[in-house]
Amino acid sequence: MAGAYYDIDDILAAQERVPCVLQVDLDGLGSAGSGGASKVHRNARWALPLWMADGLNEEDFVAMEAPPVFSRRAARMYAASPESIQLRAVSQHFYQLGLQLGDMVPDVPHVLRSMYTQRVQRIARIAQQGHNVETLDFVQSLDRTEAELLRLCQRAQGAIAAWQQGRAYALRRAPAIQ
Amino acid sequence: MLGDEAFRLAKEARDITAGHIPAYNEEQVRLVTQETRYLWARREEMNDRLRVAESQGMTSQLQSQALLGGGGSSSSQVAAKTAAADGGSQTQYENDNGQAKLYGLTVRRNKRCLLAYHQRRMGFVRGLLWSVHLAPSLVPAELLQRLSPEEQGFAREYARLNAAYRDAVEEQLCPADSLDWTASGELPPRDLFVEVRVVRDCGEIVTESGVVNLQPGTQHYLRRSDVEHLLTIGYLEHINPT
Repeated sequence: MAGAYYDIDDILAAQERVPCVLQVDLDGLGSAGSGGASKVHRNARWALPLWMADGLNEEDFVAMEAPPVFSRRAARMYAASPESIQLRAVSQHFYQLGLQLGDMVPDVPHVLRSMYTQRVQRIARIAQQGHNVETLDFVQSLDRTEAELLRLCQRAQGAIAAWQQGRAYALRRAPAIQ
Repeated sequence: MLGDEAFRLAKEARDITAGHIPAYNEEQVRLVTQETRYLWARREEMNDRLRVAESQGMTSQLQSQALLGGGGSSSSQVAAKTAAADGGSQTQYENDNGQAKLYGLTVRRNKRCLLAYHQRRMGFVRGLLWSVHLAPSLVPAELLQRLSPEEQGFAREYARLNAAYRDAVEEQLCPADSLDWTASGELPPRDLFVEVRVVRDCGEIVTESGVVNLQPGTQHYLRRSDVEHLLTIGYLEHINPT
């Protein structure tokens, strides 16, 4: 279909908040139920979802800043120990968000690449050797993209075994039917 | 915040897998379409107001240009800003501009979430149909209930269209035989006959070699095409595949 428009990961990642400084007064930025009292005034700092911030930033209605997830300090922390970072806690959509921010923050591609190349090796190892109590922490720290990657690798491993044991051609129940 | 309702739909879309679909959230869809229509109406109102302000600004600008006899910025927005008698209406003008833009962004975001939600559900229904060999009657009622009436209608219509197409092709290609193109394309069938164990009581079925009684716990060696639908819905289990 039409590429990223329908991509649910793209949509979810664009909801991540980035800090902004408003250049005009805006209504509708409060949380649900605050009704008419939700006007935020110019020069206030407010965290807006990326889809909103990007559009408003283009016409200078806000001044968008890099999210703390990709600040310089954060980048240093990532570089220090990529494999032990609780990426899921940092952001469920770490890589997707970084991709969407791309142009805005200069170092982001580099940060993403080094994080990914380090962690992906461990993911592949876990898929091959199975995971146990020791790897539980790491597996729980994966963000959405990495978790999907792990699932794919594990499925591939399973498929190899199934084929070797002659189970590959078994007629199966349709997955949606219980 | 604006767009939160639509995000809820996006999260429900995320939860759709090959094996599971949540019930169609009609209420949430209604909320989002309602919000969208409301915002669009407000945005149109604001744009009208802004256009009036700009043209008034233009008029004042032209008047002041005539007085000063000089050239000036041609932007009507700048004219509106500079022609404002007090800072208040200039501020209001900027606010309205920003607000209108925000409403427009939200409308587009809502639309995107709505489309993605429905498209993913449709993808699930399509996959489900192919996995039951385009026989909607094989889908358990409990699963059908989670689909909206439109989605159920889509399922029936999709199966019907496929059947019509297949019939047309058969007529041209092989009038004496029947084609089964719902057989898995990725795993071509290996055997004509399969060994199966009965998981749930299927009663009696008619095969080419006569009537077979499929009692739970029994094993049979049957023609694949006769029992494939029962394997699909899990009543039979395929054992010792090669």
